[in-house]
Amino acid sequence: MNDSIDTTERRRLNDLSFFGKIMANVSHEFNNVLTVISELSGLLQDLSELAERGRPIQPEKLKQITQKFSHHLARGKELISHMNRFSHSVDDPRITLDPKDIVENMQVLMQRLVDRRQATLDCDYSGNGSMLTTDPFAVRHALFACFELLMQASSTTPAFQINLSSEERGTRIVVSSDSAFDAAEDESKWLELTDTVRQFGGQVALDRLESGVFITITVPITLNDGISETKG
Amino acid sequence: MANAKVLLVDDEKDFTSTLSERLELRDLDVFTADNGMDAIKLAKEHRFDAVILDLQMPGMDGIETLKQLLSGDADQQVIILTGHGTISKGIEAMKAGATEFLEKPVDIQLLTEKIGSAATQRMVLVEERSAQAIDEILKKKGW
Repeated sequence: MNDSIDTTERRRLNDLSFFGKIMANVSHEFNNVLTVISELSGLLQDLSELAERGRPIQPEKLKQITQKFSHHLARGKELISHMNRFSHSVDDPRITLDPKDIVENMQVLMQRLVDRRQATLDCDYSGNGSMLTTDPFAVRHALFACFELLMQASSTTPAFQINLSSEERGTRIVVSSDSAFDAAEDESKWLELTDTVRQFGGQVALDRLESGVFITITVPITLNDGISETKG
Repeated sequence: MANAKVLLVDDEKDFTSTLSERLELRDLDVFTADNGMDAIKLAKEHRFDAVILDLQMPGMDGIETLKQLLSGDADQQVIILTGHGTISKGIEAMKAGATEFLEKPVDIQLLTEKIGSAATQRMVLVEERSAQAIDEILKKKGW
C-alpha cells in the first residue's frame, strides 16, 4: 500500500517538475521576445525624437525595423500557441490525437534547450499514419524524459533526432542522439521515463549502436483503462 | 561618459544589434559578441569600460564568461543583463565579481547610468593601481 502511495506521489512530483521545466523554459524564451520588441520600440522612439530635432528617418530603416517587429511578434505568437497546447494537455488524460501533434509541440518547446547546448534537433514524421487514443500529457512527459536523458549524457554538440512511425500495435517514437551514452549515469531519470511510459500502457527500450543511442517508446493505439486509472 | 567603450554579449542577435544602435545614439562605442568565447577574445583585444553580459548563452554560460573576463582583467566592470533574473543567479553573479545585475527588458536610461558608473569605477581602479605601482617603484629605488 505504501509502495502504491509512494509511486503515485513520485509520479505527481515528476509530472509537476516536468510541467515547471517547460513553463520556465518557455517563459524565458517569451521574455527574450518581449525584450527584443521593447528595444525595437525604444529605437523607434529614439529615431522619432531625432527626427523632431531635424534628423530625417530613412524609409529603409523603418522598413527594417517593422520587419523585425513582425518576425518577433510571429515568434511570440507561435510560442504562446504551443504553450497553450501544452497547458491544455493536462485537461483530459484520454483523447484521440495524431502523435505528430505531440512531437511538433514538444519540438518547439524544447528548441531553446537544444540551442543552448549548440545541438540540433530534427524530426521525421514520414512513417506516421495512425491516430492514437492516449494520455497526451504523459506522452509529452515521456518524450521530454528521453530528451533529458540524452542531453545529460551526450557530448557538447550532439545531433538529436525524433522519428515517428506507425506499427500494428500503435506508434513508435524513437528519440536518438549521435553521442555515446551511459544510462546508468541517471537512474532516477530512467525510472521517471519507465514510470511515465507505464501511465499510457506503453513500452520503452534503449539501444546503444555504433551510430548512437536510441530510446524507443511504443505508444499503444488505445489506452489501457486500468493503467489510466492509476494516474492520480 | 562620451565615447565610453562597451561590449554587449548576448546570443539574441536582434537584441544586441538594436540595443547597440540605441547606445551608439547616446555616444557610446559599442562592440557585440553572441557567445562567451568571442567576448573573451574581444576583451583581450580591446579595453572596455563596461561589459554587458547575458547569463544564459549557448556553449560557455554567462557566469563562466564573467569569471574568465575577470581573470583576464581584474578591473573589468561587468553588468549582468538577463531574463533569468532569479535571486540565486544574481547572488552567484555578484559573488563572482559582477558590478550590477539588471533584468531584461531594461530601461535605456538606467542602463546608460549604470554604464557611466561602471566606466568611472574602472577609471578609479586603474588610477589606484597606477598610483600603487608608482609607489612601489619609488620605494624600490629608494627615491
